[in-house]
Amino acid sequence: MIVTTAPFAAKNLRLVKQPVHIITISGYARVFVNRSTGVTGQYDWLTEDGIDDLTITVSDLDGAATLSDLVFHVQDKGGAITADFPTFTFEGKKVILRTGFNGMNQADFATLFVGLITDVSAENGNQDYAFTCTDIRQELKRVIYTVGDDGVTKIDSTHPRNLNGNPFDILIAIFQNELGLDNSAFDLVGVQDLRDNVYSGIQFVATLTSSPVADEFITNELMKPLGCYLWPNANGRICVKSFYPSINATPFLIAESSIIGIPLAEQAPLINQVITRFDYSVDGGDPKAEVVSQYSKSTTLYGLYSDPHIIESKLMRSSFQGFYLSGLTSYMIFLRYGMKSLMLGGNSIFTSLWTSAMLEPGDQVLVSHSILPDRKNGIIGTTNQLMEVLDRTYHFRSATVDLRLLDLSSIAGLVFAEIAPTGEPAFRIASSADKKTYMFMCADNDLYSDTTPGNLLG
Amino acid sequence: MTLRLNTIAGFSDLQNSTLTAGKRARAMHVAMIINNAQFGMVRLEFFQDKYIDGNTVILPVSAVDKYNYSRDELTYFWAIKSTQNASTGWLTGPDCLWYLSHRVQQWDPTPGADNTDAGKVFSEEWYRKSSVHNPDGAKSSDGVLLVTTCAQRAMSNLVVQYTPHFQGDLTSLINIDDPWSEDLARRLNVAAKFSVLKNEVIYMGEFKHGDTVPTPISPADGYPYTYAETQFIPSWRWSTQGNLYREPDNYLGQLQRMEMAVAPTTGVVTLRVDYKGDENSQYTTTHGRIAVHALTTRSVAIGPVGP
Repeated sequence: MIVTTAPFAAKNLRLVKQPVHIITISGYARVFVNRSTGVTGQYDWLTEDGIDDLTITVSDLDGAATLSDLVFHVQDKGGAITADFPTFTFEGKKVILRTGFNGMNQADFATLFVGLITDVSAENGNQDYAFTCTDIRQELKRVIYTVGDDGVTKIDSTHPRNLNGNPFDILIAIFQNELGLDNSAFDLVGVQDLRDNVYSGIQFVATLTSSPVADEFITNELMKPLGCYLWPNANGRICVKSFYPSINATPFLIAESSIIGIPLAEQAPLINQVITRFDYSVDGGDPKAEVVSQYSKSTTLYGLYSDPHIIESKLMRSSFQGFYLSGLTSYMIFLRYGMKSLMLGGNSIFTSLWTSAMLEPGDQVLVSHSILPDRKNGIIGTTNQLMEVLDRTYHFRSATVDLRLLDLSSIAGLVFAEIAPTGEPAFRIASSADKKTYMFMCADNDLYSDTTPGNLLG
Repeated sequence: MTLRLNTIAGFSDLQNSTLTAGKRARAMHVAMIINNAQFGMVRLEFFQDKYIDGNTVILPVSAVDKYNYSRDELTYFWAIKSTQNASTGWLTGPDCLWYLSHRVQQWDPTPGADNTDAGKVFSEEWYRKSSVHNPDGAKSSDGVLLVTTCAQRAMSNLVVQYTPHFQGDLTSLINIDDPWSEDLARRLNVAAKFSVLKNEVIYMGEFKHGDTVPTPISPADGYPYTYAETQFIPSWRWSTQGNLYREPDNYLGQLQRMEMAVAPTTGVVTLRVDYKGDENSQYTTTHGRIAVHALTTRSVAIGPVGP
């Protein structure tokens, strides 16, 4: 979720409200708004077209997300903007779009977009200007690993670059050293958490003999094989979302009252077969390892009629648990796409009120709607269906939000046990609270000695 | 009963800090520990075959789990199976052996090193007549080497942050109802990593008479082995002067006896190469050069769990 202040959250909960958008251009005196704020230096010159739709599209299986350009339209009132051109260059300047509500302190406004101006075009018979702003993280288009291990500034077979480490350490090194990003430009804490917890001990190894482009390398070689994707948040910070199941204690509620129209219950694309290829040699050629993973629970029901999802990793090695890791990633994909699960907003439109504007990719939501079919229970009407946000489109003119949501019911209601403290007694004599909290070893039938079902490893 | 693994296990340096009480007990981490224990069974394997000059040692495939080894995971030591010409079954001559040089090209881990010849077998055997003045030396590619391939998975890039120690038998802590506790999880994690490093083969380089082979240091975790934990495996590189490969002085005559030893407690190299000269003259020298591998075995005294 986009982080907001308490006053913002309180006002955002109201179904009827008038969003105020503030566009600030770094170093430029004028601030553009969509309605009069009465604040000196803020001009309500955004035209009727205002701000075009802004979409983030998640390609989770390909390890990436794409943020569309932000385009906003401003009246050149009295030629004032034209008059600024001789003394101000807009292109390359940082743009921040913040949103709030009438009567709210602007310090409580939430940031929706941070980008760079790439183009300022005249329109409407030269009476307006359209500002086009792109994702601020253009650094990801750069070529990386341009220096070999021996210091030669061109890598090839005689001046290779060796990589050896945890994939998230490799990612941090790319951001910090190859791209020269400040730590605030990416979610350092989040990446370190993945490195030190879920993916602790994972090791990727490769010898590079050519220099890749950063975003292609990161998505293909780091994100996709690990079951993760890279996405830019509202502040332009690069974040990583892992498929590894996590339980959010308080998912965002999308009630019927905040859904516009009748949502169509679509099926997510079926993926019940994943092929992972790895153990590539330095010189390329065929991979020495290939794992075909099938989700028997799904193939029994549906058979194998969809194309397999293919992962090819130059950094994954069988000597560093490549076989296990490929199985894990496959399983995480099956949990998302293996059972033709519910999808909203895939081919149809799922529109919600502006209340949902603070949702970001990876957020968990609970959806309820009285005429949304619940196939699992065979009834019309769905209550608190756990889903994950993938795509999101802001419609600034109508103050609505389109979402693409993926069913997460495979993990709904699960409670994962914790590692017990040293000295914890055996299950049969542990306290009732500890029995629910900690992991104890069960028999082959998944039961404890008193026939209580075994706790779950997460 | 033959050891078989259905899937290829691998190594993971799972950190103990991840296995802290109150943290989520993850199936992934249990699987990693199991993988490490399995990896420990197969990380080091040996393969042996006969090769002659110009051959390249084959890339082995594990009989246990069908793992395909890559060249950078292999080192080689060798013994002279026969000095004969493999095709004719007889020496090429003329007359008797004079000096010889054998080698299997090791993988050079230096970045950018040309490893085109890694695994290639070289055998050069020179013959001469007994005459001191007209030895008529002749070079041949005779010789059959018995090459032992030490296959060590992730040999050059396996890194362990903290040295693991033996943890003893933990079976009594693994019963129905027993807690998956921080202590147990960490000890199993360390024990599994110990199994991976318990035995290593480390190439020590080439040595001549009087040199001392130092104690090896694990490339994985920097563990300094003692001589007591090390067994040296020498292979003849050549039989002439130790510091320079060239023909022996003519007067020494034909090659006779070769002996090599690396003292197990000091690493001191002792070489002896005898020659048979004219008439009844016999010469004992300290000629020769050997390539040495260290086979290490860590102590199984129970040690700390570590960080």
